[in-house]
Amino acid sequence: MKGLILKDLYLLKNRKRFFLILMVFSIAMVLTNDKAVFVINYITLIFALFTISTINYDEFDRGYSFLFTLPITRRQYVLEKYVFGLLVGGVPWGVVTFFVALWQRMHNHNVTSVIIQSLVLLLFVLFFLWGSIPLHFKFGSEKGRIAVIALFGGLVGIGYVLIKLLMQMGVDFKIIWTFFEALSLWQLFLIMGVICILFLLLSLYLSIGIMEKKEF
Amino acid sequence: MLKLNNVQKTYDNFSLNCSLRLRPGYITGLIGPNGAGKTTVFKSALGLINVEKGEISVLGKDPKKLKSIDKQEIGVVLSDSGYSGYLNVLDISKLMQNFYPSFDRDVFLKQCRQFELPLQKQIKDFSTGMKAKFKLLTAMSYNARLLILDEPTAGLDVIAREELLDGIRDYMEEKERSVLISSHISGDLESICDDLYLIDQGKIVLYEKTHVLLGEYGLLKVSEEQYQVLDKKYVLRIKKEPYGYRVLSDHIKYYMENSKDIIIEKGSIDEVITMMIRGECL
Repeated sequence: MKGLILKDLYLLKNRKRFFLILMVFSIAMVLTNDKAVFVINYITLIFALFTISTINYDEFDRGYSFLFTLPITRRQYVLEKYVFGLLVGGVPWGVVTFFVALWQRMHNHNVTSVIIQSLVLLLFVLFFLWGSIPLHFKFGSEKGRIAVIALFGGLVGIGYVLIKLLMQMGVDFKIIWTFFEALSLWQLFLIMGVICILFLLLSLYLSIGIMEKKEF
Repeated sequence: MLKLNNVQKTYDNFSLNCSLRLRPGYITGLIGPNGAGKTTVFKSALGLINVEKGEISVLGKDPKKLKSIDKQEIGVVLSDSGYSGYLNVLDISKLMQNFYPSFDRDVFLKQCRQFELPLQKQIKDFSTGMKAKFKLLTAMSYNARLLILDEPTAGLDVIAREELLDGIRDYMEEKERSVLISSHISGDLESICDDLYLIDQGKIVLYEKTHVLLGEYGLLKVSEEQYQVLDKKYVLRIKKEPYGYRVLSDHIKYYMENSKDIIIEKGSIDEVITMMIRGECL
């Protein structure tokens, strides 16, 4: 596992100029306007999605064939991608959130709101990542990208149509609002946490299944 | 060390049905034309593809069930795959320290310098020869008991090939090591292999010890009349030629002693391959 994480970090090193520019751009954004949450979102998303880039690097030039002759199992390889995703998504998220919160506090803005928003954003990024990883394993880098767009685009489309239909049928969505409003913050985070873990487990299960069956 | 027993794998227009054995202390060659199934054999042995039938044993285990510790005993060169081209030698040497406990980074980097491999250049920018040298050096850098080498000398010039083959010979000086190697260049295999498997269209068509193949196999060039009276007891393959027949035999001495008027040539691996694949059975 350590060797695989190192490999991905060395690959990340190749993009250091890009990430440096990204950091400078983000700092400038925080200093020049109040779209601090956008910066957290953007940085977390870019870093976390580098996990997908490492899958593409591994796949490039039939790299998987050799990779799986190394002293690793396919299951370890899959697990490493999730750990790496949490690492490269979570650490920049934590650092940026900390500095943005500090900046907000220095300017007497609402820190709690920033932290809650950034937590929600982190969850969205992780959901996107965990949805994308099995699709990239299954379809490879090119088709995987299309599959991700199809999946998330499809989900948004289906959701939109479903809500419209239910509204036409006279379903009152105020019940849902009332339900969420009745929850305390920690109850809400507990529900989100459980959903998150279930989604992670499902994503892991699918990824391991795909890679165990795949031929190289 | 490695055993394939009636291993079967079918693709759209190709089918593998193969048995093969690699003994401890042996260098065994796998030779055959393009598309014969050499890479499929290697991938089966490494558990990279799922076989439909048959049994495979690598270091006594099913390749699909090999653990990390087992894989540390296997060194691999694949003709079309390797470490990511976006890494450099220094990066890879650090990775290998984590993957292989017996990997000696200092020795490895010294060898890379000896082979004039740039340490900080990305692998994708290496020449074909540099890539081949690097792949073999990495496979031999952690005292693996089993080396599986698919076309390790492809793209190398004569001198570089000899250097690498010497490297493999030196590697075999330690006991209980084995090598399965494939190459398009039969001269490479002639010079280092103890035994050879010839594969064609997914099937092993010949297995022989290298010294037997070079010493006892040969070609008879006979006219139509000579062919009619030829003792065909030790004839493996025949091929029609403008002058009569070209005949492959595995008992060349028998014909040297008993058929004095015919032209007899000692076999080379290339000729044996050509006759075994293009020639007709009796």
